[in-house]
Amino acid sequence: MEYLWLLLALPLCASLMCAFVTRPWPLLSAAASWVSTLCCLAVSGNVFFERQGAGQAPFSKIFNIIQLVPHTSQGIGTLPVGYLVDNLTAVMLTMICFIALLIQIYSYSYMSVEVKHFPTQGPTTVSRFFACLNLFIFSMMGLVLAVSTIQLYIFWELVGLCSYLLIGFWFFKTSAAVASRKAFVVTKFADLGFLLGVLCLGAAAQTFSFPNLLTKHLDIGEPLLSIGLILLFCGAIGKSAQFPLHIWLPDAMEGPTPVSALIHAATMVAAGVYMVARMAPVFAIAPHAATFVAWTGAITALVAGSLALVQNDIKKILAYSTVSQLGFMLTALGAGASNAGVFHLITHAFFKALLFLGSGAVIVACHSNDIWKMGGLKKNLPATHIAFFFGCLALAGIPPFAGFWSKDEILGGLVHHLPLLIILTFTAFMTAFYVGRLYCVAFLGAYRGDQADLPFGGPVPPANLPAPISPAKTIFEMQPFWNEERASQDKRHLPPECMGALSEGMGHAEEHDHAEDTDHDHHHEVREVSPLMYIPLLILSVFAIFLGLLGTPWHNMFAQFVFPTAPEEGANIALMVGSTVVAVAGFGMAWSFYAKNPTEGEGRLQKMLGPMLPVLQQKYYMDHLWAKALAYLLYSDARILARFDEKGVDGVVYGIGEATYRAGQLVRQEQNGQLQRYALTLVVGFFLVVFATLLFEPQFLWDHLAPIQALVSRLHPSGGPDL
Amino acid sequence: MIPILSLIIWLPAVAALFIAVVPRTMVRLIQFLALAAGAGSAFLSLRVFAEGFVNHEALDKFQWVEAIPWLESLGIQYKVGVDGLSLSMMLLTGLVSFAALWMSLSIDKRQKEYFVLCLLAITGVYGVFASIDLFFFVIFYELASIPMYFLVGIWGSDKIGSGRPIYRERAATKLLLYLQLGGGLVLLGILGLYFASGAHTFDLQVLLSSHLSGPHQKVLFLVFFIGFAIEAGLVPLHTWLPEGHSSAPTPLSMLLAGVLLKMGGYGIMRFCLQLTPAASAAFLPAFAIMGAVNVLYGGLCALRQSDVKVMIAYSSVSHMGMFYLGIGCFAAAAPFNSYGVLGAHFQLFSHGVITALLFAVAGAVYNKTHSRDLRAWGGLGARTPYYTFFYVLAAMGSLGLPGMTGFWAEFMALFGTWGSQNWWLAVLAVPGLLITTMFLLRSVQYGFFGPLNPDHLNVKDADWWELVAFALLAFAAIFCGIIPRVLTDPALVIIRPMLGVGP
Repeated sequence: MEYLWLLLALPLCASLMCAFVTRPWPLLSAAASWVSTLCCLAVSGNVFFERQGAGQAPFSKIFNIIQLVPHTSQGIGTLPVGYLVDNLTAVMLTMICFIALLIQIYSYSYMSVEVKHFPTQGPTTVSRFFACLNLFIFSMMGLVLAVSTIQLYIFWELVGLCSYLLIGFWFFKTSAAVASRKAFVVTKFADLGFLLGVLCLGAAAQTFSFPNLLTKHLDIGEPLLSIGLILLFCGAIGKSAQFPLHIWLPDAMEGPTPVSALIHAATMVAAGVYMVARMAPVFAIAPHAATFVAWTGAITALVAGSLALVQNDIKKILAYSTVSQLGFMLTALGAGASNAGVFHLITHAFFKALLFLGSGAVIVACHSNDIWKMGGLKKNLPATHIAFFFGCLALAGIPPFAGFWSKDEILGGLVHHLPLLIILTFTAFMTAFYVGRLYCVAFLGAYRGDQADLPFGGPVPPANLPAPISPAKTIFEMQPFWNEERASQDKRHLPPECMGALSEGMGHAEEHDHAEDTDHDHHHEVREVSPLMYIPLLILSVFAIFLGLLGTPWHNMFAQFVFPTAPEEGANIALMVGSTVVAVAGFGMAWSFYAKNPTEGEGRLQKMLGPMLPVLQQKYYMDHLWAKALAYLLYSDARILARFDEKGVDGVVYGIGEATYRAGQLVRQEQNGQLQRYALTLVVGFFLVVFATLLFEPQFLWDHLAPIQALVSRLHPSGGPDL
Repeated sequence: MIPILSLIIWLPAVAALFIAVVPRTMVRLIQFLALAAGAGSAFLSLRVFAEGFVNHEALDKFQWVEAIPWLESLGIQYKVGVDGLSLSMMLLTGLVSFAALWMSLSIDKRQKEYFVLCLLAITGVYGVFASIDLFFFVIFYELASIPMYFLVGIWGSDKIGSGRPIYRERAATKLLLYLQLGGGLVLLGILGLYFASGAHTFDLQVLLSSHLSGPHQKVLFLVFFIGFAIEAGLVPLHTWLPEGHSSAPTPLSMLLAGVLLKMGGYGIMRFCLQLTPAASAAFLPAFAIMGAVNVLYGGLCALRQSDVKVMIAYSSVSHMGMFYLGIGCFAAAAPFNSYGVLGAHFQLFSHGVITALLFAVAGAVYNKTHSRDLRAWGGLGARTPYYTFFYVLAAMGSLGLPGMTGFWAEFMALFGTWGSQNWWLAVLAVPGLLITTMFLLRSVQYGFFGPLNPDHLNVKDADWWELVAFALLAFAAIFCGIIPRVLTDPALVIIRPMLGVGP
C-alpha cells in the first residue's frame, strides 16, 4: 500500500519523458511507457493480492488541497484529495494496468506502421502518442483511486482531455479535429451536471469524501439526494456515452485504433459505470435515481444495439456495441445488481480491447475500415482471426466465454424487473446478430479488397437520404476558409500538409493500393504485421475465454471479492438456457445470412428492417436533433447578443461620445471670430448677469457688497471672514 | 532593512529613465535594460511572495511597510505595504509584466519610447497593488493607465475587413476614457472616504480601523463599485475590452487583461468588501446576478467572434463574471462565504495568468501570420507545434481544466454561490463553462487543426524569447493549479476576518 503514489507518479513521469525527453526516439518512448506501466501493474497486482482475504476495511489517505480554516478538516471546510483503496479499486486498477500494458506493447508496432501513411508525420508523432497515452493512464489511476467527489471530478476532466487529444491525434484531418471537439463538448455538457451534482451532494451531505459519504448515514431527504445523484449521473451519461449523449463515441473512432481499444472501449468509457458502482451504497437509498440509471442504461443498450446492425465500418460496429454494453452495465447497477454490473465491466474490458486490437490488426493489414472490403481474412490472418473469433463469441454471450457469464448475471439480476429484462434480452439477441454479421463478412468468404469498384458501405448502397450532418456544420457556425474541399479543387501543387485527409492516408487506401500494384506487379498482400501485434491479442483472448469462470453463479469468486455484502441471485438454470438460446440464435441467424453470400444476406437484413432502415442509417436523427438544438438555442442567441453588444451597448457608448461632440459643435458656433458677435455676446451677458443679480438680491441697488456677503454667510453659517 | 517594495515599484521607472537617455539606435541595450528591470522586479516580487507565504499568519496586517511623510497637513504620505489580499497580485504583476517584456522583444518600431512607456505602466501597476496611501494609489493608477493610451494608439494594430472594423486610435481613446471614468469615480470615492471617515487621512491602515456609518457606506460602496467595475469588465460597462484588447500590441493585451483588469477586481475587494462591509452585505448578493449575466453574455458574444483577440477579450468578460459571482457570496453562511470570496480572489490571479498566456500565443501567431481572423489561420499545428502546444494549454486552462488555476477559482466561486441564497445563479452560470469550452475549442480547431492554409506555408514557429514568456506563465498556471494552497492560505488570512470567520 505504501507504493500507491507510484501509480500516479510513474505514468505522469513517463508522459513528460515521452513528450520532452525522448521525443525523437519512438522506441525509447515506447520502452519507457512499457516499463512504467509494468511497474504500475506490479503495484496494483500487489494491492490486489494484499486485499485477498475476507472483510478488509477500505484503506484511505486524505490530503487537504484547500483548507479554509487551518488545522480543522471537518465537513466541507476542506477540499480533500488522496486515495481510497477497496476491493473495487483493486480490481479496476489491475484491469486497467494489464490492458494498458498490452495495448502499449501493441501500439508501438501499430503506430510505427500507421505513421508511414502520413507523409507529414515523423518519429516524434509516435512519442506524442505515448505521451498522451501515459497521461491517460495517469488520469485513469487518479480517477479510480479518487477519495472524494472533487478528486473524481478532477480526474474525470483530465480523462476527457486525454480523450480529446487522442481522438484529434491526426489533427490535420478535419474529420478528426471535428470529432475531438465534438467529444469534448458533448462530455463537457454532461459534466456540467456532474459539477452541479458534486456541489449539490457536497452542500447537502456536508462532506465530499467517499469514506464519509458511503458509510455515514446520510441525513438528506430522498428528493434532494435523488436530484444530486441524477445530476452526478449526468456526467456518466456523457462519459459512458449513454443515450442521448452517445453521439460522440462513434465519431471518436477517428482516433488511432489502440486509443479506441484503451479509452473508448475498455477503460475511460467505463468511468461512468465505475462512478455509479463507487456510489452504489448511496444509489441504494435513492430509488428514484437508481431507476433513472437503470432505464437510461436499458434504452441506451437497445438504441445502440440496433444502430450497430447497419454499420459498415468495423470500428463503428464495435463502438456502438460498446455503448450498448455500457448500457447493460448501468442497467444492472441501477437495478441493484452491482456485482453483475462490475463483473460485466471487467470482462467487457478484456474482450472489447481484444476486439478493437483485432480490428486494428485487420485495418493495418487491409488498409480499410470497411468490412465489405475485407473478407476471407481467416486464411490471411490466422492468429488475428482466432483471437477475434473468441472475442466475438465472448461479446455475443455464447457459453462458456467470458461475456456469457457476466451478461447472464446481469439478466439474472433483472428477474424482478421484467420490462428491463425483456429489453436487454432482445438487445442480447441483436448483439449476437451484429457480431455474427461482422465476423462472417470480414473473416469468411473471399477477400474483396481488390474489387476496386466497390463503393464504401457495401454492395447495397445506403438508402437515398441527405448526408448525416455533424453539429459543427450548422448554418450559424462560421467555417474556416481553408478546408479539404477547397484543397481538392485547388489547382496549385500543394504540399501534403495542406491536403488534410486527402493526403495519402488510411481513409484513401485505393490510391495506395494502385501505387503498390504498379510497383510490385502483384496485388497487395494481406498478412500479419508483427508478432508485437498478435501476441497481445492471443493473451487477451485467453482472458476472453476463461475470465468468466471467476464469476459463475455456482461459485462467484468475483462477487465475493468486490461486493461481498450485495444480495446474490443463485444460479437460474432456466435463464441461462434461455440466454444461451438467444445468443446462439442471433449468431446462427447471422451465420445463415452472411456465411455463404454476404451481399444477399445484407439484402435480407435490409428487407427485414423495412422502414427502420433509413432511421437506423440516420442514427435515429440524434445528430440532427442536437445540431438543431445547438443552432437554435445557442448560436442564434449568440448572434443576437453579439449584434446587440456591437450596435446596442456600444451604440449607446458611441452615442454618448457623439452627443458630447454635437454639444461642443453647438457651442462652437459662438466662437466664429466675428468681433461684432463677440461684442453682442458681451453686452447681452453683462445685462443677463445684472438682471439675475437684481432678481435674487435686490439690495445690490444700494449696497454692492451685499450679495457677496450673502454668499459667504451661506457657505459659512457660523460667520465667515469679515469683508 | 532593504526597502524591498519600493525597489519592486521603482526599478522599472528607473530603468525607464535610463532608457530615455540611451540613443534610440542601441536597441539591444534598451531591450536589455527593460528586461533586467522587469526581471529584478519580478524576482523581488517572487521573493516577497515566498516570504509572505512562509509567514502567512502575519499577513492579516500590512507587512514590509515603508512610510515616508510628505504632505502631513493633508494626511498624505508615501506608504507601501503588502497583506494577504495584495500578495498574490504582486506576484501576478511580476509574472505578467516580465512575460510581457519578453514578448515585447518582437516590437519592431520606436523601441525606446515603447519601453519607456511600458516600464512606467508597470511601475504604476506595482504601485497600485502595493500602496496603502490612497493618494498614491490614485497617482499610481494614473501612471498605469495613461501610458496605455500611447502604447495602444502607436504600437497597436487596426483591423479592417470582415466583422466590425477596429481602429487603434479610436480604441486607445475609448480605453483611456473608460479608465479615466473609472479612475474619476474612484478618486471621488477616496475623497468621500477622506471626509466621511472623519480621520482626514489617506492612510489605508487608519481608514480600515475607522467605522463608517451605514448611509456613508452605501454611497461609497456604489461609487467604488461602479468605478472599479468599469475596469473589471462588468456588463454593460465592458465594451472597451473587445476593442482595446484586440487592437493593443501583444504585450499590452497581456498587461491589460492580466493586471489592469485585476486592478478593478482588487479595488472592489479592498474598498468595497474591506472598507464598506455592511453595504457589501446589503448590495453584493443582489449584484451577484450581474456575475451570471457576465458569464453568459461574455461567453455568447465570444461564440460569434472570428477575430481571435476579440474572442479572448469577451472570454475575459465571461471569466470576470465568476469574480462577481464569488464576491456575491459575501453574505452567505459560514463555509460558503469563504469559498465564494476566496474563489473570486483566486480568479483574479488565475485569469490574469491564463488570459495573458492566451493573448501571448494569439498575439505571437498574429505577428507571424499577420492575421487575427481565426478562419484564416487554418492548420497551423503542422508548422508551429510550440504555438499549438501552448495555445491548447492556455485554452484548457481558460475553460477550467482541473490541474490549472482556473478550475479552483470556478469551483470555489460556484460552490459558494450554490450555498448562498442565490443557488439558482450557480445553475444559471454553469452553462457558461460549456460555452467557454465551445468557443475555445473552436478556435483551437480552426487555428491549429485541420489542413494547413497554403497562405501560411512558410510560417515560423515560436522564437525562443516567446517560449520563455509562454513557459513562465504556463508554469505558474499549472503550479498554482496543482498546489492551490500557495495562493489560498495567504488570502484566507485576510478573508477570514473580513467575513468574520474565526480561525
